[in-house]
Amino acid sequence: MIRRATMMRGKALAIAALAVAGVGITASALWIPAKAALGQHLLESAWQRAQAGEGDSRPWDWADIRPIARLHAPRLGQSQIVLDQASGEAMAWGPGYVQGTAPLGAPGLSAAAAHRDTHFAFLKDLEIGDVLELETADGRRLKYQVRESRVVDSRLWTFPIDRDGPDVLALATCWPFDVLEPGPERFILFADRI
Amino acid sequence: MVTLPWWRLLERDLGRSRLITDGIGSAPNSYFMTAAAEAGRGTHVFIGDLSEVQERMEALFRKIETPAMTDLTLRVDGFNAAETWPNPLPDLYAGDPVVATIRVDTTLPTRAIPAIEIEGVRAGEDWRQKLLLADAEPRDGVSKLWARQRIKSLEALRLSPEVGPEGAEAIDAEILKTALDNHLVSRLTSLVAVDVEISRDQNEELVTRDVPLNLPKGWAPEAFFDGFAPELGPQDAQIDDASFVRLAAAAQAREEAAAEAAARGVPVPATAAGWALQALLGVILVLVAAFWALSGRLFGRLADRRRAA
Repeated sequence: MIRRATMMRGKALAIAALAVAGVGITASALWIPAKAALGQHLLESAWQRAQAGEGDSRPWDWADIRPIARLHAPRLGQSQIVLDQASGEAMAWGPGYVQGTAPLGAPGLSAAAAHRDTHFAFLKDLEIGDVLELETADGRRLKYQVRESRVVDSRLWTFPIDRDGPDVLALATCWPFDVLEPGPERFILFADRI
Repeated sequence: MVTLPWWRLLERDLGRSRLITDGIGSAPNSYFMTAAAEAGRGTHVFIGDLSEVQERMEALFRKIETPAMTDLTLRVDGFNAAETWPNPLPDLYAGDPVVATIRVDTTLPTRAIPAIEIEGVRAGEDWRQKLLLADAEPRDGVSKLWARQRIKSLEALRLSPEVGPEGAEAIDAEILKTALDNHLVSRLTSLVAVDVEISRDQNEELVTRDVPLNLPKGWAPEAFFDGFAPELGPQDAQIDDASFVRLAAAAQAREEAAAEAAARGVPVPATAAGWALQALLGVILVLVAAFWALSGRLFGRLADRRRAA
């Protein structure tokens, strides 16, 4: 009888541990889209300070990211604050400018990237000919028209370095959109300045 | 401190005597011997290599027998406040210059022409020399030299029994200020180098790999790696012509790699947060736990029913 009680207790503990782990993993997973949505709200005031010309526009004191532009997709009602880098930490909060490409709104090819399952999920619904708007920190509002989309292998393809050609905006995210596991393929959308 | 009576004794009873300290081998406390020689207005000799003892000791005796000048004193004209280190000055021996540093307060000038007057006894006769400060030339590092001697003297003062805990604190504050003002390393200060420029390309991924490394001289690699000979580093640490060629080649290779990276373009970042997969995993775990918890009860009830039937 004693052994049976110990076994019962062991089983109950195992079940409890499984349940706690499951709830914890789910919660930390759901925190990612929550953070992505929350981040854009938290960045709002920092973006306004950046537009007001303030040099130090970090959203919070210990942040190493700062907002540098705002991207609109008017047809889809999307509007997102773009950060100055496309590191993993930055992209948790918002789309990131890919450092090394031409500056946003300047001649040449400039690129921004974001996660396919948070900020750039809307790229799936963009169509050729759609208009995008880019607000820069110095107050310009630039219009771009989607020209083409392309699926590339990130192991082979890189953003070409072009700093003096026509102003092209490239938006990048992972491809395909509706799978669960990460992969090497990327979806790149090119939009020309109009 | 055990050395304290020593210090006192030297200051009080030195008279015409001079204390010369001599250390042979690696064991002598060089700090103590230098300080004692200074307090005793003498000189110090360290002989690290035993084969040099004869030669160095002969040189020392020659030197002691022929002091070039004794009873050195130094006076500063033209200013009301002057600080001189070391104090008192040691004797001058052949081949061993006496270096003194003086700080004057230029806000308190007197009517006399600014000058330094040095007096001493040379071959039984008084010797005197006046150096006009107008002839002096500015030099970098003089203030550091002065500060270093000042810190040394303050540290010695701090050890005297008259200096209580409060006095020690005041002296520490003085030492700290002197060291900070002159950017010196002392018992209370150290130097920190901060590199503000990020030299690594932030877009480049970090890699981990083995680097060629040399074994200590005389060790055979075969004995350590089971016949597998790893890539060895340069065999000679000295920079010879061949090393220069290698270094130049490495620099060129780095430049070429950088140029190639520029031609390659900017890599596309990984852009899948993957939260859905993680959430799915979590939910599956919860479902397994729930199923497990319920199954026991379910099968138990089925068994009861069968038994009842």
